[in-house]
Amino acid sequence: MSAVPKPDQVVGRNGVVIIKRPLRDEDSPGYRTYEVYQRERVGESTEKISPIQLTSEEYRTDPYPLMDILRENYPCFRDWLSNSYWISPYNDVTSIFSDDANFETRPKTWFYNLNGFGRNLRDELPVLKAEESTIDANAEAVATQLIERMAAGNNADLATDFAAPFAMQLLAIQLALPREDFDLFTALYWRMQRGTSWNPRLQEDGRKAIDELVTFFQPIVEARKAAPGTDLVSAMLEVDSDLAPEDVVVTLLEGDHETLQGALANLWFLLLSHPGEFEKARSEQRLMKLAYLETLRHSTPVLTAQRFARHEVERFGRLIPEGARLMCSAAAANRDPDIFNDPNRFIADRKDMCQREPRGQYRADGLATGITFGLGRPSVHPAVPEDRPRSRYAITRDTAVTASQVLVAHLDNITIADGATPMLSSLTVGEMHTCWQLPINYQKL
Amino acid sequence: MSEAAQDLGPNLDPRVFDSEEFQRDPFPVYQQLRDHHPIYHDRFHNRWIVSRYWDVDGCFQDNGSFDRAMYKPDGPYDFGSRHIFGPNILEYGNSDEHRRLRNIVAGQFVGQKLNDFLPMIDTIADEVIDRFIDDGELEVVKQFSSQVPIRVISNMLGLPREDEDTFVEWYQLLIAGLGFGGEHLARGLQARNDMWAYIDPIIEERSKHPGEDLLSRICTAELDGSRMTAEEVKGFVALLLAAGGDTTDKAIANMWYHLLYTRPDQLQDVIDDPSLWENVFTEMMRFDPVVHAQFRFTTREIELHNEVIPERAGVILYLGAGNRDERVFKNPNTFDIHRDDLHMGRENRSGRYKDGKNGHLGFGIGQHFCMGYAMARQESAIACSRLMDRIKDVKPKFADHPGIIAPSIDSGGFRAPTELWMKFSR
Repeated sequence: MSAVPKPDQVVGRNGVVIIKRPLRDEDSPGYRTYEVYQRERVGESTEKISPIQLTSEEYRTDPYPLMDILRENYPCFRDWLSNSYWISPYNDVTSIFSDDANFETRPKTWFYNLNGFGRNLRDELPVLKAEESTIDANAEAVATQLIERMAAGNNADLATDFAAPFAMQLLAIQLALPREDFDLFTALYWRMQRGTSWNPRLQEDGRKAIDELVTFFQPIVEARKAAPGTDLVSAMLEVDSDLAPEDVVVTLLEGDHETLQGALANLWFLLLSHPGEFEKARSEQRLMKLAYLETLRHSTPVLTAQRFARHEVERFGRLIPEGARLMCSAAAANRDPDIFNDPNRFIADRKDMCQREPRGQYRADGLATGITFGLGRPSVHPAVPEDRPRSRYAITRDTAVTASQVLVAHLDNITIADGATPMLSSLTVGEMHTCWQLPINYQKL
Repeated sequence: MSEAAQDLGPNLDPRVFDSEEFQRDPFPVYQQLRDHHPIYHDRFHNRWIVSRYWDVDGCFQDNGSFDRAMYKPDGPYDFGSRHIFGPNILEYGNSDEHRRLRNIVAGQFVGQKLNDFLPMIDTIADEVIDRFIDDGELEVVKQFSSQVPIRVISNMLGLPREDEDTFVEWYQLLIAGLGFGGEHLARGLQARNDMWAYIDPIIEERSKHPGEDLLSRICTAELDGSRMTAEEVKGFVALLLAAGGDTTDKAIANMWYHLLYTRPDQLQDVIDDPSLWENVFTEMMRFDPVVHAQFRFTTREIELHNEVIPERAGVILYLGAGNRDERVFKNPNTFDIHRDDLHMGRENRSGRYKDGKNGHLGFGIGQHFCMGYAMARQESAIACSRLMDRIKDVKPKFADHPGIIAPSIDSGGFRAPTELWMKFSR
């Protein structure tokens, strides 16, 4: 049994003693600690940043200076304009992810207002297994094919000729779609994913794309019922023999497969603009993997994740109201100088970063990882026997590394094309932050 | 006069709400909202928007579903502790605490208690008018409208007259600090602290030896044995200076603007019959009120127009849009002080009137209905008719005017002209 608490102590239900800070003086109206904190820490002013900057052109192209301001000055920034709270220090962001009791993730169907439309089957074991086997079997072949086509000339665009088609073709092959439908599927898929943004026109368009995708998958589901294969739709049928095309579409919607494109494009953008690091990364597979992980830290394609407070909860010196939207900024957290040395530098073989799971709360080596969203997460089946699939995070990582290895093996002297000034940006604020054009020169090996 | 609102169709980019053009002229967007999106989910700003008259009215009336406060009354938050005004009733939401505080002071601003103060408004208006009466021209905002209400309030509070100019400065800083932070907030808080330091001993004095002034009445007002604490009185005084002063200030400027530019043909009507100033006030509060929006948080799922607003979501009630709803008012985009479909007399918090007409939404409706409604109306009408009594041949100094604007979203504040010049003779 714990000792009898002193008057200034509160013992929580789990026996942990919390020291109750005394009020500043007896006559004060009794502000609680977070109120005192709030008044003193903010001086109640936020003049170093204005909320409109967080939706500005500046944020769309280079959010990092703005995120530095938030992290260093306003770790929990009340954004009145966007009615949300920005969380930016590394430890604060990761603390929210591991706190499912207080903060919830809302599915993309919620943003589409499509509750009850279809089921998300992507965490079902047969689907995970099929995902792993189909992606492992095809990644290298798809990459090789794309690069051989590029190798015919001596200039191409790594973003549009490699990263983008690689991610989408791979997904189409995982679904065993006929090749003539690849372009149609890619277009519908992108419209559906972009519709989850704030833009009402994109959402309306995405809603139409969802309906078209349902029509698109109707005959495919029927065909797989009649003749199952090893593809993802067949795996979904294994979970539920009454599979509806809506379930397939919702599973894809929640999938974020397009972020593989963002990760690959950012990786190559960083490698090509840091030739020293590129030399390291191309020398062996292990270092290419590290360069990929460093990319996710340094320039993560998904800048923020939204979490919603399940109820009123005190965090970070504030009382967060129920239903509040928290913008957890990976961009800010990943460049937190308290966690990473020299955080703005891209160092392929960074020594102060853990090389395991991506979410920060798992610090296997006592080191923090880069925070990434949309590029897979730890497996929800940790206790399944040895034949369990790798976590989706690991699958995505291996796929990106494989594709990059293939590229290095086929092309030599890869440089950014003369006169080109590639950069990272989002199409609109809140969307994926990546390199949309990366023209290169090279020679065939 | 009458502007036919242009039809923008159903496509509405939520970034428009941050734009300068929306600050200048929000009405085409309001029209779009009413016609195409009676419930608009603005995902860019994480909020929902309600814009039709009867929807805004319904949300104001429905206290069970729409809370003014972000936090729940039974939660751990110390209401008022971090508001720029200090602890004040604006933050208490729909709680019992709100009801207690409001009931203690609400009676001071209506009926006989208000009438006690009315003669003073004439005196103060005269003093302000004396300053420019020989000039032959007048910048209404700086020289008149921003001067009268704050002096009236500090007088009502019985504060020393020689410090009036300091109050004017404090209250302008407080109002600016209400916006979205930045240096305005820092300066506003500084002004608040200065004001508190100034007013602390006065409150103590008046609590012990109350006089006839409003501050004494607030300090000693009791309801069921409950008084405001000293902290609450300070918060309320800050609120009164800012909210009571600034809104009336801008209301007066808006009234003159509409008579000089929107509807110059009705200026003579008002000169002939000064009682029409109340109509000018009412129609201004409908046509383009000082406050256009109120924020609420849902306490449960709301189903409206085939949409569902989730629990604890932020909702904007655009009363400025509801006031222009063609489902309620004929030719809503025409400014007309002789309007026969608008309740022209005193407002009340139910929003329902014996003459069967609909009122404007400018003061809100229901539990959070403007407490100073009677004072704002009387004060504006008296100050304006006093000015009109003493001058003639009123006309705008410049043929063109940039119009009424809302200040930039970073600075807070309400809709009003920034400058309004007029010429007159004695």
